[in-house]
Amino acid sequence: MNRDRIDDLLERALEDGTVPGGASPAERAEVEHLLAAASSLKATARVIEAEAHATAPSARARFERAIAGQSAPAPKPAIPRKGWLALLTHRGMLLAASAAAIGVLAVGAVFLFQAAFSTTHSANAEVLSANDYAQVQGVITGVTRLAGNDTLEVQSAFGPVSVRVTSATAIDRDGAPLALAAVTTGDLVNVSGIAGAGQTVQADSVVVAEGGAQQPARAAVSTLKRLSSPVNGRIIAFAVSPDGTNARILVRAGSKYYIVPLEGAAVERLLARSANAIGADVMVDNGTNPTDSVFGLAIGEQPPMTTTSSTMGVRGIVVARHGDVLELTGLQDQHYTVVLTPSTRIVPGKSKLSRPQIRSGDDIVGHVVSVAGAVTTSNGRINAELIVVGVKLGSSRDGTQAAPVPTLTTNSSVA
Amino acid sequence: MDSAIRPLAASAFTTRHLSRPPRHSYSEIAVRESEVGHDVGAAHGRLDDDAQSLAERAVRRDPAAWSELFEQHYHSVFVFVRYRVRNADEAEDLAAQVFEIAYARADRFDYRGVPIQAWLIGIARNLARDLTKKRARRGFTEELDNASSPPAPDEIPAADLRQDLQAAMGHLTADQQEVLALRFLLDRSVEDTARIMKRSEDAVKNLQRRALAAMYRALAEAGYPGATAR
Repeated sequence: MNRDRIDDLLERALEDGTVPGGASPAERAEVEHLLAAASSLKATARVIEAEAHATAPSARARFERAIAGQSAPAPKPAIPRKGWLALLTHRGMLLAASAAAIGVLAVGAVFLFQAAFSTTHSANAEVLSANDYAQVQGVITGVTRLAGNDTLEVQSAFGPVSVRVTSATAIDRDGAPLALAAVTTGDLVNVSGIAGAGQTVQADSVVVAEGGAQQPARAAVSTLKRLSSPVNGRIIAFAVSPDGTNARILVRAGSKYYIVPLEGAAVERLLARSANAIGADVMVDNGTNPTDSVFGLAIGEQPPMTTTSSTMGVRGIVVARHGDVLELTGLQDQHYTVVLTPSTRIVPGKSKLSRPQIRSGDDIVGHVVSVAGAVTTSNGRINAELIVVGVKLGSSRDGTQAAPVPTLTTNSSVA
Repeated sequence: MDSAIRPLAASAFTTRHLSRPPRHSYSEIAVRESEVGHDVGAAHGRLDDDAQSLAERAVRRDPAAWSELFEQHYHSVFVFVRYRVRNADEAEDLAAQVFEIAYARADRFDYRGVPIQAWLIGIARNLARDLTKKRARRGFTEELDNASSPPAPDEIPAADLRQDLQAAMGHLTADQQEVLALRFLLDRSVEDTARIMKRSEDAVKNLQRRALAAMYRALAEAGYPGATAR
């Protein structure tokens, strides 16, 4: 087959959308394969474009900090705020040299970050507080069945958790509903629901991840207060206070466990990946404001779906609002109806909106939101357990345009 | 309890709500100028003057100029590197580094009709290749365990990018990834792609064909619907 001929046919097909009529059957087959590959790429272009828009504000903030540092007299060596790729730059090497000065070998991002961080912490911290929206992982150590009010005793890394299961609790394994009777001692479970007093959870959902799991040993848990370098870990638990002001994760970093208070942008980033945060690999950094006591996250890989058939995580743009009901449009033009209930935890994220505005105003229209919640089977609506509101990106149905991006200045504060 | 399975939905949003970043298009400017009776050649000249003025201000490290450059080109740089890295966070990191490095080297940028975007993409290209080489040297995978296992089957439509497509791109050479990113993610013409990659237009078409063929084979082997292994 003449390659130049194929190149010409392909180019014409890309312009017109169809294989030119003069192509032989073999040429047509070849070009159609190439068009199929091109189509698959183009289909992801919208996703990548959306990612680019979503990441632009934080990237801009980082760039602002960087040029402010380069412009200021006698600048201090910059500490990477996020992204282990910073090690590839010369400033990353300065950090490596510092680390070496205290006896740490800078061999790869993993070892550098893990060895160079230091924290101050308060011991014996509580992971869950009453009325938190909570996600926890643990191994079942006992099942108590009382008609309509069963209890799973779950051993987590931060201690025993009593999980109350009712008829409203969704229980799944491998994406299919599971009867409570099939849940047994030794099952590894991910639980989401509302925390009660004394390390209890009223479960909205229980997902059985695997059976025959080993009980985690109870570990000392500390609250992260200060971080000099990013640290890698895996999320073991996630909680958000009723008013959405206090979001935190429990992270296992090596052999240690830390409660990490999160900034709103980090919660948004977490929920954007999945309605379930458990098991996600993360890098904790100082976030957008290194002087406050909340931290940022970079999200690595997450395990396969661990939500139930009756719970849903969605992300989209709010195109309309009617009272407590939000209409969302997702990537593939899916339509979602989300209901804000009195118990919905609201995290403003990068939206620059206040909670009252999100709770009751139209300001949320045009914003990207990530929602985790339970599906009402009768009408398909999602009752939001947790909603994180991100930047305003697009138009509402009435054509209102998004606000322009602010101009970069050397003295601008961190976004 | 509802027995219907509701898989986790994809977590992204439609592009019709997104405003595309400004792109200087000769044809667009020619149309607008012709509507008011201006000479197309003059429009071309004005575009070059604007770009040169911006470049000169950027060389002087004018913050407003760099703000404009970031606004104009972050999107393109991000998209260009996206498939060269593992996820959006890494792409954001790499793209931000491109601008930091460009700013640091601003006084070395020599505008002689070469688009600033080509310069930025050149920096991005080198950063991405450095990253690939470093990972290959130290066997870098993930910071924690089980990093070398192959991507999980794309059973769950929650991923922003289909994992099989990401894996398929991983089978391509750097040049093949680059031509596909420029042609199909950034929607660049053959002419623009040739200029950015410093190749002839015929060479770009040739590379494009081989890249698409390689992608098709990789998708077919991964069991992508619509692609059959040959």
